Amino acid sequence: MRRLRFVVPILALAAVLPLSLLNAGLPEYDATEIAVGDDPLAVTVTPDDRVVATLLGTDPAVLSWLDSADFSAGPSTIGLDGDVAGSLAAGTLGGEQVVFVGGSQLDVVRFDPSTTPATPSVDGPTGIVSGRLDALAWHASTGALYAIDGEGQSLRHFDLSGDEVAVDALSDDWPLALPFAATNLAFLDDDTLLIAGDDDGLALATVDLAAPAAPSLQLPTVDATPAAAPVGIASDGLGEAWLLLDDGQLWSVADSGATGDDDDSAAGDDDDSAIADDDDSAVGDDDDSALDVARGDDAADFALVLLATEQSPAAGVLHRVADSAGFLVTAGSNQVVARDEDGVPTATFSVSTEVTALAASSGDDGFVYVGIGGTGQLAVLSAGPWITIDSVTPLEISDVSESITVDFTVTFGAQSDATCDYSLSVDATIGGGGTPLTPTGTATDGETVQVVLSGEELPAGERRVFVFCADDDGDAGRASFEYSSTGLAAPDGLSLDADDGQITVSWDDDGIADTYVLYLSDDDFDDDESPTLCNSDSTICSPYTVVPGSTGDDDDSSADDDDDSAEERSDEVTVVVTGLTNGTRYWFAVAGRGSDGADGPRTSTLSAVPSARGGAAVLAGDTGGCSCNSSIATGVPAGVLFLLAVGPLLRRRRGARS
Amino acid sequence: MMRRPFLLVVPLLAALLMAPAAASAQVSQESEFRESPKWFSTGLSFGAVFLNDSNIQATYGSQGRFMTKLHFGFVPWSKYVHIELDAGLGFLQFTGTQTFVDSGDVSSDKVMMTIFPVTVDLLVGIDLVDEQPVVPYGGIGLAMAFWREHETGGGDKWNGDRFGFNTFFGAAFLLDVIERSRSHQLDEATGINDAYITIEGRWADVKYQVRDGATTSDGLGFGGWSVTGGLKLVF
Repeated sequence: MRRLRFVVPILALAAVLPLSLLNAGLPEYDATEIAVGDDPLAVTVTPDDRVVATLLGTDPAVLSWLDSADFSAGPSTIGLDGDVAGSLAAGTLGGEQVVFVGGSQLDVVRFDPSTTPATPSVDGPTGIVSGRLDALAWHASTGALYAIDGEGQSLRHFDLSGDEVAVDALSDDWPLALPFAATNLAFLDDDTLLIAGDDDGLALATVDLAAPAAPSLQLPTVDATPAAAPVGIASDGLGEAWLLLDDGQLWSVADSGATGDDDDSAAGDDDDSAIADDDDSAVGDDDDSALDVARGDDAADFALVLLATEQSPAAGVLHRVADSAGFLVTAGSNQVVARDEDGVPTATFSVSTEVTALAASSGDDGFVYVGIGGTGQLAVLSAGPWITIDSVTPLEISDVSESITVDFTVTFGAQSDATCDYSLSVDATIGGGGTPLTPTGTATDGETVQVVLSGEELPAGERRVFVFCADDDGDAGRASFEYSSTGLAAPDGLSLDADDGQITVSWDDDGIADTYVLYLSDDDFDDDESPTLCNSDSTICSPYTVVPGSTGDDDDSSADDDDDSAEERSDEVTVVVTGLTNGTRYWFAVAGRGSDGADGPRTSTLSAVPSARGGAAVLAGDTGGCSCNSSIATGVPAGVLFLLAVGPLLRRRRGARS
Repeated sequence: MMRRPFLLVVPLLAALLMAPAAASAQVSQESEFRESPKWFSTGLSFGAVFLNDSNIQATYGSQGRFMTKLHFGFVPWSKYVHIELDAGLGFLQFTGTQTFVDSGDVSSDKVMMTIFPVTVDLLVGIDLVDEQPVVPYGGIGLAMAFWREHETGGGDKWNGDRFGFNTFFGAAFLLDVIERSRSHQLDEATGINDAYITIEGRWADVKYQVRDGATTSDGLGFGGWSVTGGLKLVF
C-alpha cells in the first residue's frame, strides 16, 4: 500500500511528462479531419507551408489541394491527364510554389501564393516515354527532380531549370539503372541521394550527384539486414536518415564512419586473413576508394539501428526540425506517432482508419497531414490548437463606423483543460506578422469567442484577418477570413465659403476614396435622398463626382519636372459651385466613393447663402469712383488755394499802406 | 430755473477772458514788447471721429476712430476778432469684417478703410484783448473725404470721394501766458507770436458725389462728429 502511494504520482507525472517535454512545433493536438474528395494516395506540402496537395486514388488522377492559410475554404481539385499517378513532391521553382505529380508522366502544378487561396496553374504534362514515376525527390539547388521509375527500375532525371522540362538529358548515364526494385528515395545531403527498395528484404543504394551528368551509384554495406521492404525514407539532410519498413520497424541509417579499410589486424593489412577482405585488385590494395558491397568490405558503410516498431501496415516516416531539435513522425495502421530522433515516442494520435499517406509542413509551422484510406479524409495534426471560425458578420462594410463581429471556436483535442491566447492581425501570413487588431484574450477548449473588430482599424480593400491562438508552448493555431471594406468615412472638414453667386465647398481628402460625391440642393435633405439640383449653367449637377486633385508639380526627379509620374494628392478637395442665386440657401453633403464604386457615408448637410460680400462699400452698393471732373469738387479747393496764396499778398499790401 | 445759472456763467466767462488780459496788458506795459504781425496759422491735432454711416458702422463698428489732422491757415484779420481761412488734411485708417449682403452674416475675411478728410474752413474767433488766454472760436467750411476700402491680404478694392460741409466750434488756450518771456523770445526768433492748445468739436455732412454731372448722395457717407485736440501756432 505504501508503495502504491509512490507509484500513483509517478504514473501521473509520466502521463504529463511527454507533453511538457514537447518542443514547440511538434504536433500536439488531436487530428481534425477534412474531406478531400477521395482516398488519398500521397500528400505533400509546398516549402512555404501554404499548399497541402493530396493525390487522390481516382482515374484519371486528381490533385486535391488546400490552402493552409484558410482551411475553411475547403479543398479544390485539379484534374490531371496522366494515366497513372502515384507520387508527389513539392518544391520552389522560379519563385513559385510547385507540386510535382509523378505517374506515367510528370505534371507540374504551380501555385501563386500571393492570393488566398493560392492560385494554381498546371503546366503541360511531361512525357517519360515509358515507365512509371513511383517516387520523387526535388533537388532545390539545381532545379532538378529525381524520380524512381518503378517499371524501368531506374532513376530518372528531370531538369526544370529551363523553360521546358528536359528528361534524362544530362548525359547518356541517364536514366540510371538501379540494381533492385526501388520504392523510396531521399537526399541524405545536398549531393547524395539515398534510395531504398525491396530485394527480398531491404536494399539500399546511394547516388553521388555532385556531378549530375556523371552520377555515381554505390551500393553501401550495412551492418544489419532487415527483411522487410521500405515504405518510407526520412532524412535530416545532414547525412542521417530513417527508414520505415512495411512491417512497422523504424530504423535509423547513418554513415558508420568506417573508411572501408579492412585492417582487421595491423596497418597495411591486406593479408586476406579475414573474410570479406577488400583486396579488389593487386597486392597492397587497401584503399577502399570504391566501396563495393559485392566484394564485401569487412566494415559496413552504413550503420542501421532499429529504433522502434510502428503499427503495421506502416505508412510513412518524415523528419522535421522544430525549435532547433529534430523529430520524427511515423504512421502505421491508424496511428500517427511523434518521436524524437532516437525513435522515442513523444505523442501518439489516432485517426479514424488506416493511414495511407503522410506529409508535414515545416517544424515552424507544425502541421502534419495524414491521408486516411477509405474515407476520403485528410487528418490534420497541429502543434497549435485548432481554430474554427464560426461566423463573420458582416463580411463587407461600407462605413468605417461599422464593425465586424467574429465568432470562433478553439479546440484542443483531448487536452480539454488547455487554454490559448488569441489575437487577430490584418494582412498577416500563416507565420504571423501583419497589423495587430485590438481584440485579444484567452480562449478555452470548445469556447466560442466573439470579438468585434472596429471598422476604424480595418484597412480598406479586400483584406484577410488571421486569428491566432498560441498555447503555452507558443504554438499558434490559425484560421483566417476575408472581409471587404471601403475604408470610407464621412469626409472631415466640410466647409462652405459663400460669395457672390457661388459657394466654395471644401473638405479634407482622406487619401482613401477614389473620388467623392458632392450632393447639393436648395432644400435640406437626408442621407437616403439624392438631390438632383444643378447650378444655372448645369455644369454641376447633384450628385456631382469630384476627382481629388494632385498637388500639381510632383517634382519627383529634376527641377521643373511636372510629368506627374508620381502624383501626390492634395490634402484638401475644393469645388467652386458657381451659378447660384444670391440670397438662396443651398445645402451640401459629401461622401467618399471607393474604387469599387461604393459610396461611403455622407457628411451631415451644411448650408450657406451665396451673397455679395465685402465691406461698407459693398453693403452700400457703392462702386466708388471720382468726382474729380465736376466743377464743385475742383472749384472749391481751387478757390481756397487761391485765397491762401493771394490773401497774404493783399494783407501785406494793406499793411504797407498803414 | 434757467436764469440763475446763466447769470453766474456770463460774469465768470467775462472774468476769465478779461482778467488775464488785464494782467497781460500790465506785463506788456512793463516790457513794452510788441508782437509780430499774425499772417498764418498751422496746427496738428488728434482725436476721434464718429462716422454716422450705417454701412460703415455695420462693417467697422460705431466706435470712434482715431484721426490725425494737420491744418494750415491764412489769417486776414486778428484784432478783436480773429479770422482764419484754413485748409486741413486728416488721416484715419481702420479694419473691419466683411459682411454678406443678402444674409447679413459676418464673414471671417477682413476689410480695411482708409480716409483722408480734407476741410476748407472759415474760422472766426473772439480775441478781444491782446494775449487773451482763451479764444473761443467757431466756423463753417467745406469738407471732402477721399476714401479707399480694400480686402486685406489682397482682393477687391473700392475708392472714391465725397464732399459736403462742416461746422465746428472750439476753444484755443493760449500757452504764452504760462511762460511769457519765453514766448516773446520765440516771437522774436521765429515770428511765432501765439501758441495755443485747442479743443474742437466738429460736425460734418460729407455724403455727396458727382456722377454723370449730377450730385447724388448715394453710397457711403463720411459725415459725423469728431472731437480733436492739438497744438496751434499763429505766426
